[in-house]
Amino acid sequence: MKNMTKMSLILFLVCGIAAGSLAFVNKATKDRIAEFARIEKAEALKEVFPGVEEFKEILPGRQWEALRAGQRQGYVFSALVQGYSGPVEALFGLDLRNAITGVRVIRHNETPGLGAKITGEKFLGQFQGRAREAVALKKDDPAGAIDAIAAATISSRAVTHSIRSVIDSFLKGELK
Amino acid sequence: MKLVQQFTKGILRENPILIIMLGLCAALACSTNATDALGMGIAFSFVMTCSNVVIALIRKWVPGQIRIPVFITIISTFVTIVDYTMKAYAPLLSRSLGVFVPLIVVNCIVMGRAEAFASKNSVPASLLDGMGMSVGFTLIITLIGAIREVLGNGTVFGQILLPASYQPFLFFILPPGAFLVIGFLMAAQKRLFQKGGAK
Repeated sequence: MKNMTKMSLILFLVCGIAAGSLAFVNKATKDRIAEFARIEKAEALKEVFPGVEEFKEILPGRQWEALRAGQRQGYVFSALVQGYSGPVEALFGLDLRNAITGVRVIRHNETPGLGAKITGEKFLGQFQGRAREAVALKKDDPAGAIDAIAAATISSRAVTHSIRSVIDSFLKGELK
Repeated sequence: MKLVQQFTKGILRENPILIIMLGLCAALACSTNATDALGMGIAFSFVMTCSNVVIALIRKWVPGQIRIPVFITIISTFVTIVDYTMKAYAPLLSRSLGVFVPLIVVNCIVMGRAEAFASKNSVPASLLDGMGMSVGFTLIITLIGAIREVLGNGTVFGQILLPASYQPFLFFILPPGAFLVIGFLMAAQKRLFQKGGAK
């Protein structure tokens, strides 16, 4: 019994010290981590909608209103989908004519060297200025304007489809 | 054994990846390019060295029955410290290593050295042992990363190394490539450095 008390005490002490040091590290780093996440999101929004100064979040994490001098220039949407190996999240802007102003993949876990190329300008640049009908892979749809990445059709299709379906639901009035 | 040897044994004679063959998960998963591999090596080195020292320091007060939970608590504390620090100061590296930083907790080399070495040896010896293992791990994982990056992408540390006419051999960036590279490295080290290996 005495042994039991001693062991519990030692374990308690070790855990206490561990928890204390983690609390300290958390306090020291949490502002920086939050700050970085904020900056990164702001940068991504600016990249998908160039020339806009202000973004107003209208649906948390899903839709932003892009404003220049108080005037609405269009919207930025988030498109989340299951990729080849995990969720893929993209941000894209739509101007008032419903043409795409830019696309950025902000989160993904696709195969390095293959699917991971969905973050590259060579793939994402193809979306620039496209309207709804053209947002499809050439190999899936004759009206499509997007070339899939070689050996990464699933990743390419995931991004393309998710953007298309967000545009669709926006045009149907399901988003704000 | 001399103290210097405690350090040098981790680099070749008892290299954690090539000889002890522990912690291969991290070595395989984080070696798709040299930069990630080096980052993983540094994160691992911090955890390895610090936990070895702390465990050696408290080894006399911890009863044998509860040593495993105590070791795990200590190791996971250092891992979390590394994880937060990386997120705050090297966010891009932290993103590309992803879940493998928290997974250092279950890296068998750290636990293995705690159990096999630090819990039985003095603080200076454990410090040197931890540092030696760290250097051995970091060297080899970075080497694997560099080889895979050159063959699979034509670059090293993101710098273009091979001419544009080189057709990247993607196989090496994918998981099977890691096994192949690690296998060849094991064979090479056996041939070059082990007595009786070359028959």
